[in-house]
Amino acid sequence: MPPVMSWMNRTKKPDRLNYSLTQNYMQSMQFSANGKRPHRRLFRSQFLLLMKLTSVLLLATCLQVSAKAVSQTVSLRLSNAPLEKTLKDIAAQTGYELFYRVEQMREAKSVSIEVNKAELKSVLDVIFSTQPFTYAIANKTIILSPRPVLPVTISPDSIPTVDVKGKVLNENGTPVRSATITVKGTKRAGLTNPQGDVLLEHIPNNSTLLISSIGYESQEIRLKGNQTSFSVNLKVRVTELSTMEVNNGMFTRNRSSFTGAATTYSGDQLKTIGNRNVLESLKTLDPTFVQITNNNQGSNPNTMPTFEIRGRTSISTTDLNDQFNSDPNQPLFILDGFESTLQAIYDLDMNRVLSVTILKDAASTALYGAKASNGVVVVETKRPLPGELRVSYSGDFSLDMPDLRSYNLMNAAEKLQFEKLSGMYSNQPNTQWLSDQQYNQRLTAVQQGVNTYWLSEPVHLGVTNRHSIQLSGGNNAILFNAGASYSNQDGIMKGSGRQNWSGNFNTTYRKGRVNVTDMFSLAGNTATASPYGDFTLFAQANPYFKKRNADGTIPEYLDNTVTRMINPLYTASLNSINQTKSFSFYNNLQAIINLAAGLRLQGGFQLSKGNSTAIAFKPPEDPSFDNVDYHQKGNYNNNHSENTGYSGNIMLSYAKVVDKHQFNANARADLQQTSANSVGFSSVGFPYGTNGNPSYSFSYTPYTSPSASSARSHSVGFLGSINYAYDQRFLLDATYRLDGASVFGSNKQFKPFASAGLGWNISKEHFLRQYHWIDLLKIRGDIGYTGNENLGQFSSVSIYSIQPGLNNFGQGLDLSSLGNANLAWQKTLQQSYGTDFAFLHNRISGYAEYFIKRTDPLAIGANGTLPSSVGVNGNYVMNIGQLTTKGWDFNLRLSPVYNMKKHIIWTLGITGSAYTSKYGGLGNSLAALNKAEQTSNGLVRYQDGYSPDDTWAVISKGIDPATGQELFLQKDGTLTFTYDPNDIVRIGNTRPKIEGVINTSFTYRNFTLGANIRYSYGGYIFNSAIYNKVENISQSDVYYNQDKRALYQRWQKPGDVSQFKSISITSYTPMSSRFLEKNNYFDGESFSLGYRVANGWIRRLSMQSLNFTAYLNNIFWLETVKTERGINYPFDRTVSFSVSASF
Amino acid sequence: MRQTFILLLALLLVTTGCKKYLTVQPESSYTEIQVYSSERAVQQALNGLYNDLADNRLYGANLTMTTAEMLGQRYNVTSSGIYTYYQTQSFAYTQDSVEAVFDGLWQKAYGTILNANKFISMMDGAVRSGVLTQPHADQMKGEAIGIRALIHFDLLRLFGPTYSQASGQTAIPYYTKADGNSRPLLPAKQVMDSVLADFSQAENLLSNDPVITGGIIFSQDFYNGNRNQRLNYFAVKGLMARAYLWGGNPSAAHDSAKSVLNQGEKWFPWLKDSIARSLIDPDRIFSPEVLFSVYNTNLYINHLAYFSAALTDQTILSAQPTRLANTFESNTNDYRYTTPNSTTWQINGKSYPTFFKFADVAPTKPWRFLQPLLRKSEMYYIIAETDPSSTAAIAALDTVRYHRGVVNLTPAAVIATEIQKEYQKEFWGEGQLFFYYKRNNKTSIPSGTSGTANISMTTAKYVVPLPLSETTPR
Repeated sequence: MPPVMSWMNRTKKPDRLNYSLTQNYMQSMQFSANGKRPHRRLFRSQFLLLMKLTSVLLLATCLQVSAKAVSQTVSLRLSNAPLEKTLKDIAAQTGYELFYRVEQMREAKSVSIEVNKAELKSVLDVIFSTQPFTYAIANKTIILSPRPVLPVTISPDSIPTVDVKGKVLNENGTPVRSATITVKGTKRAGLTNPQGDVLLEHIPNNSTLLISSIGYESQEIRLKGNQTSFSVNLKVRVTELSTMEVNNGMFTRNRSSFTGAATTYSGDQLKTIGNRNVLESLKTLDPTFVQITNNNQGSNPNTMPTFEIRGRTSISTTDLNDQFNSDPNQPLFILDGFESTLQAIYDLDMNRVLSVTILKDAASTALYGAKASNGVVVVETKRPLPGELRVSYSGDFSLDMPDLRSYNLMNAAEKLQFEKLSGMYSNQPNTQWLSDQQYNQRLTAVQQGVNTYWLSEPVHLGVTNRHSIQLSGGNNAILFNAGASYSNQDGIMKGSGRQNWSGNFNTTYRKGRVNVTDMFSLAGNTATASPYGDFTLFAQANPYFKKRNADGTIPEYLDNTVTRMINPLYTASLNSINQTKSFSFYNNLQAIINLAAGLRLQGGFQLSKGNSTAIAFKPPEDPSFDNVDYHQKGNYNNNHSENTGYSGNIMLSYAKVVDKHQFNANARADLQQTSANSVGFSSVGFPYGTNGNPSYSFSYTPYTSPSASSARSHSVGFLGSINYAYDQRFLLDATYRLDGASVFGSNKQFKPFASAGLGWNISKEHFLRQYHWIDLLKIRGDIGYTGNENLGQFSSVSIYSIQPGLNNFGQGLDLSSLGNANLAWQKTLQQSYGTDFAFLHNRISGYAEYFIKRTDPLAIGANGTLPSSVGVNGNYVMNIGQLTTKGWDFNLRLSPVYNMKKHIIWTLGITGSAYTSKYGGLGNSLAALNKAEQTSNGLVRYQDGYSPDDTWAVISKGIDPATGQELFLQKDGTLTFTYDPNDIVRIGNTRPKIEGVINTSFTYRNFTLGANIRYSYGGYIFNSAIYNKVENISQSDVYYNQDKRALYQRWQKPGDVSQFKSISITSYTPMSSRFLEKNNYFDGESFSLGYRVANGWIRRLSMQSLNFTAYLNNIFWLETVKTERGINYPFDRTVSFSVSASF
Repeated sequence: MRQTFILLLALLLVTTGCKKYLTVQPESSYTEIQVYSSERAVQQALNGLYNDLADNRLYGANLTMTTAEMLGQRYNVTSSGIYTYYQTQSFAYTQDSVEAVFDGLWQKAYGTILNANKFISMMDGAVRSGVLTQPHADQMKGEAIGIRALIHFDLLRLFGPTYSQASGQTAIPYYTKADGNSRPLLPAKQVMDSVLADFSQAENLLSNDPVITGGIIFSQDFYNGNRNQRLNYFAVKGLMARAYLWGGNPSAAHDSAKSVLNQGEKWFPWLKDSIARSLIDPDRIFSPEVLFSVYNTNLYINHLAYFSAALTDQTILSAQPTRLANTFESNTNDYRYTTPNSTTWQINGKSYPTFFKFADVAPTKPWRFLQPLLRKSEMYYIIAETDPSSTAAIAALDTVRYHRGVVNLTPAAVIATEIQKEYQKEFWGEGQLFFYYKRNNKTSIPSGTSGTANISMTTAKYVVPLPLSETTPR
């Protein structure tokens, strides 16, 4: 096996442009190659030799030279000595020089020899008989060289021979370089040049050729008679990820000639990070794929995370989010070539994922035109493979532990003391006795030892398991794979959870020039919210209250005084329902016809349908119905939505190579229709003890009518893309897309988008060839226009809707949105510049990218941007200002130990990204929004030259120790006690200055250890724990449990140096820089330990491979800010375990 | 080659089919193209404007029974009452909740103006494309222009200056186009000119209004029926009279009021006193006399929310009993006051009289849900105020008094005082009193919380500041 290993190492890496691939993946490839296809070993060994020859010849400068002494005989006594040492001994004894490559020695076998004064050549013969390479002696120099391919000596008379010219292309017609062509039955072989050409001289007539290349299915060709040329299109091997190519969801592009910014991760690689879902792992692997932390919803499995690729392109305020149908900065998701949704990817069984590609810049995303501004995530699932019936099983198990360490709440005694200090029990003289009574009751409770820890009540250890089984097999003509999975995730809040199930059935039919694939998929899920409600309720509950009565019953109220605090446990004990069930299916049919050499026609069609029903039931016993009429106690809501859609595409691809010119072109047309309908109703008036069946309700909710909505959209697109490469050195990409969509409105149905990119493979230049430590050096840059369709369906045509209610003339129509004839679609001009590099035989590799995204004009709802007398509402969208985002990202990898022979690989890596955004051209148009932010104490301002992520507040100089009052810095630099909103300035930016992941992986034989730690530096965070639970505790909030700092760290008497105002202040504290803190943190995102076996003992269990991985996710969080994390739903820490086996 | 040809052909077909494919009609709403290509839909679009007027933010409540009347000190709202009511009554325009009320009013008003402007701009095209006949289009366009003028006029009265004092002062913007562009704030004088120009145009377009020849027909026919629920010819003329008076042109006001009565009085007869005094389902709004009203489906819900005796003393809107008696000069014969036989003010459930004008009536009654916005009595008041002859003025006032069960004035009566009394008696819950005070720039007006005291009035109290949503982005 070692030779194969080293071949992988040596030959594959220089061409590999994807540095983000972990060693684990590499290994898995090797094992599958070794384990599953032993018959390949032969040609690979030969291939190895061929490759060695070329590499050795090229690396002349690395040769070491040494010279000494004069003897021609050698005496050695060695047992299991390294070859290098042996040879150095020999050189020392003979005075010969040695020529070899340092890395060659890694594959060398150890030597055991015992000779006395033996002749040099015979000694060397013995030594090298077991080595994977051979030697030659010239000019008193021993040169190590790969074993040459032995030209089989064939008598020209006996068998007629022929010279055969061949051309090897991939499915797209792009030449495949370094493909091996083996003449079966001989030891003859050849390699294709970068143009995919090969010449095999003097091979027997009627030979059978085996063409193979990394990442492609091998193919056999039987030459007929004296056939002198052949051409072959290799198919991408779908089981394994081709790192040589970029799959952009429409077609594959050769990575080495691509000028865009795109990174690909294999399913296996994602699985080394965690086993929860693809997106969670992706954010750890790719620095540009950033999850926006949702501190409110924490680790709620039913809250879809928010992701951004390379920052924002749109203004996103709560105001605007309401009117746009989704997050305007969300990337586009493509699943198996068709548009998908965030939720579908979130729920996708990770074990089915073959690869995920992130398209970041214009050159890679312009294919998606109007939808591409936020980047594209392309997910490919596994396709059928030929061979015997294979069954594989994956099981994922996780334990989620609630992470409550960020909570710093008072205990019973502390809380009571705090209440007393803040004056809760000082009352009007005539009611003082009541307060005293209340205080004494609570004091008694505290003295009796009541100290309830409420936080642990609603949470528990969440157990998640997923089982996924895949079946695959078939012959050359028909292949299939089928799979099913079930997962059940218990949320860390009791009762919450998410259950998913899915099934898929894929078939591929191949005959001649036709290849048809059908993928059928079904999925369903049930999302249940916790009956315990918001976690806040438990954080607020006072520790001096008992959860239960003495008899074990749960009281409805914690106390029966005026305040009447509801017992959150009581609400939780009721049979409320909050559940969403959904079901979806899709069928993709794809066909490929190879029309002629390099010319290919392919088409795809997808049909999809889904539905979802959300039911919410609040039982009549709920305290919120306490003072409500019996007719209206209890509340039931039902909303059913359905969506259907189809989309189809047809594409013509052409590829041609003439000498050093490589040319690729694609023309594509696609169309898409989606429609969504929903209908819902609500009813009230339930008897006590009902199970939420709406038939028990008294009536529909009074004064409501059923809700219904329906929306349909059509779109078409035409795409042309070309790619040209000269001599693999100079690269050119160009894309043009014409998008037509019904949402654009009827007077401008089509919008054009385009991109162009240039690249230069410097490492392929002759003048760099001598620097052998440079494996790859490429610079690239591109520019293009893309659009953002997430902004919704506003149009240039006015829309009327039917008014509720009627009069003596029937119903009326309302102008629900005025059309803006001058509305320009939001367009983003993207520029991206990057370099890919690999040095020292890939020991150091990575990329760095810089980009500028300029969205001009922005599309902004008229709310607050126009004087309200214009009469338009938020549905009226106008063009105002620009948003420019600049940023850079990098991924750097270093392998200090890379010993394939001993299977020890240690890799260190760091990824990072940083962005800054800036508004321009807004002028005073958003003054009303700024004003609204000011009144609501918002931290955001819309101002030219500032970022959407900037936070604004008055600068606080802290608390005056003498008076306990807050000192503010005025704009003119003077200090004041008076808060003035006019002194509000920019404090900082919520985006970190730099954020990324530090990772390391260590592989020793079958074990792989990985660690990924997220770092974030320089961002500001609004510390809501301080703002709401240390200060700003109003008279009524004093009643709820608060942060300990409110008791211990607030100013109490003159002279106290404190960060917080006086404890007795229950009045309102305005927002100031005191509540904004630098948020530097480390997050232990993923630690994993994997064990994988592909041969040996498992064979006896008729297993092909067996894989165990254990993970720790989000296991620690080190931060500079002390704030509460997970307000309504806590965050979790996860320990999980995966096993997968294939039979 | 042939394959390529077929492919190109297919592509061509796809391209030509695109335009049609990309035109998707929304299912739960209509595009303007759909609306203005069918007469029924155009009718519904116009009807939408009337529904907008009946919205609580406009004439459904704010400009009639609630906010406008609070400003006119109608109700006995004390500091222990609902905060917003009290602040409104105290002219605390910068209080958040008061600001929000006026902001809502402002936005709904201009939203409706936008809606009207869109409608107006589409009329000519609808005629050209044969969707509407010219007479129908004229009638509908006239109504829409009238609505536009009505709203602008009321906004001017509310947010503009005391016209007689400062007609050159910047007031509000005037919108005649639906294009999403903002218009400048105009001096009150210019707004007034635009209002009058719009009313004149409406008058012209409505010169063939079926009401002129046919009066009020209780039918659901869109063009002929229920004209008192639409901005008909006489309503426009009547509003013009009101506007001229506001704009300081008494003679024009007089002429307009006169012409309404001359041409139209036959169609708007005085309410028979038997119906006004009926105990069962009385016509408390004197519906036959109403020149213009909107159909407000929330009318009785509003009654329950604001005036019902079931509300607490803190939340109810009711008159201070002494003030109420003084307003009606303790004349229990006045149909508009509480008498054993009248039902507008009743002592029913509370110790003091509560307001019953907008209490529900039997569904069969044709005036059910009608919210009166302009009545012919106002024409008499305008004549009384503008007629140079005091005899004519007293005669005009006496005509109304007679039909309210009140005895004639003595010749020595001070006309202006009597007119003010009439406004105080006649327009309960109709929002006109505050504007009467403001028009005459009264510096002292009766307090709503006291039986006899007055409160002093200033410009700051009369002029409602423009909402922040309007001024901040400017």
